[in-house]
Amino acid sequence: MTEAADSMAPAIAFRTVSKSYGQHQVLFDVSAEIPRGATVAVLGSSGSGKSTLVRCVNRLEDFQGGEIGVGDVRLAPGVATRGARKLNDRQVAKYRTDIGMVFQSFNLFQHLTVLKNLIEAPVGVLGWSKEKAVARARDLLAKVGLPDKEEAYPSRLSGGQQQRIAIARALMMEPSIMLFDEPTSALDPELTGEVLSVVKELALGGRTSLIVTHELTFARDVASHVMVLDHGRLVEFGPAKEIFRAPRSERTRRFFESGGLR
Amino acid sequence: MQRTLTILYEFRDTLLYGLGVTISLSALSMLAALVVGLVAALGMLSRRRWVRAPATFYVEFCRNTPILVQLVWVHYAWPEIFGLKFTAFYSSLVALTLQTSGYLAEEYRGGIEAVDKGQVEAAKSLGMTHARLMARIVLPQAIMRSVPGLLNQFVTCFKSTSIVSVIAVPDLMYQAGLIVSATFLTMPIYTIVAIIYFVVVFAISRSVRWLTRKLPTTGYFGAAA
Ligand SMILES: Nc1ncnc2c1ncn2[C@@H]1O[C@H](COP(=O)(O)OP(=O)(O)OP(=O)(O)O)[C@@H](O)[C@H]1O
Ligand SMILES: [Mg+2]
Repeated sequence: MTEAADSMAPAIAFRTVSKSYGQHQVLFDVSAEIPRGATVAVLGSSGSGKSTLVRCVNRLEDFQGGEIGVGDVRLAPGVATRGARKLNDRQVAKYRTDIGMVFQSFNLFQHLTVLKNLIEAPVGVLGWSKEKAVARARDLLAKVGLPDKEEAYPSRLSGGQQQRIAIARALMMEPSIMLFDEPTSALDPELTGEVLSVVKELALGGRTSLIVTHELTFARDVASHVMVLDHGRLVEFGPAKEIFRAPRSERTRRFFESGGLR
Repeated sequence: MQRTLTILYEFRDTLLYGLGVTISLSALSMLAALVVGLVAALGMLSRRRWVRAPATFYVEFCRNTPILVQLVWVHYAWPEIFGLKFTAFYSSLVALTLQTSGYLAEEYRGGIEAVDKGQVEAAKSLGMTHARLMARIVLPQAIMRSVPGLLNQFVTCFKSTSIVSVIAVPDLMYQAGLIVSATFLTMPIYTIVAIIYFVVVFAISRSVRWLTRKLPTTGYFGAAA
């Protein structure tokens, strides 16, 4: 493949992805090609399958039908492959190092200080030297506005602070893809601003991001693309500008109205 | 009272020797059980059935057979079943380790399962393998959580040692029996033994309680308080 063609290839390609929990189907034939560098707002009401879809990308969830192409890796039900080769557990773990994830509930390691939360995986998984990891960690802590919290344990921090640390922890790995699953939903309203600005200033540039959010104003502000899920079906996907101006589906229009847009 | 103290003084070496055996037996089996119990707990939680099944069987077996039966079984049946013949002391050590490791495995398992699944997902998403995230994220937190339970099992283990006198391990109980059969001072000797056990077990369980209360103010527990 030529370089030009390669850079045109989507960063993430969902092809008729279907998933069920037992009898309960939660994703129906979801297909979408996410261009490299896109910031995709994943919208939809509660239970529509947003988390599930995003978690399939880094293999926290398996699925039953279709496939997801991520770079040169192809995820299919029960198996991940690169070219003709099946990836084993270790290689799947390696695959995840290039995909950062930020969770609604922060999920910081409670027994480690902030600094150790940040350097654990770069040193242990990527094999960085401790000096390199610490230097990058300090740089990121400064950028998320918490330079004085290195030695603090997570439980001593506010939710907003914990989430900014969690974002820094994911960025330590220098991933080319970032997944956010409602990064501000567990926060008091007055703390969402500090987290969203860190997402915007720090996490989005130069990489492909999927952001599940209920913050429609934020989505309109940062998203290049929008996906809207409804009961496990992708009812809308396209450039954010067009969709926010003129949603194609009735479902999306009602969703925007209920979220106070327009 | 005067007479009791005289008797205690007269047989101090015999009794102290017995107490030494009791303490070393319980300490050694506890140490062994700390390791074996952890391995068994990890086995029970393994994703592989052929690891999980034997580990679960081991733990259930250890917890659901009386210590006396285990002791006699190890000492008299293992030579034939496994071709393993131990001295009475080592048979006791093995039996106490079996019993205690079964209980400790349950303590560890509880600790491991109580670790927040979100942290496991975060560790996975950072590229950690199952082995690495167990070692670096789950176990450190699980073990800290298990400490009070583990310490309590130590008290149980100490008390269980008194059974080993039935296969003639010269522990405190056995030594007392020797003195009684030589002197016929049944009442004072067994009373002294009861008091010694009480004092030691009481001291241990009080320290355990103190440690358990102290624990939440150290390390990240301190941060959580
Ligand atoms: N582990 C699970 N087992 C069974 N059902 C599940 C599981 N996880 C999610 N579901 C179901 O799958 C559907 C989609 O869930 P998902 O969490 O992806 O929705 P969501 O769009 O992220 O919702 P929310 O906005 O509430 O986070 C829901 O009906 C949910 O009940
Ligand atoms: Mg969700």
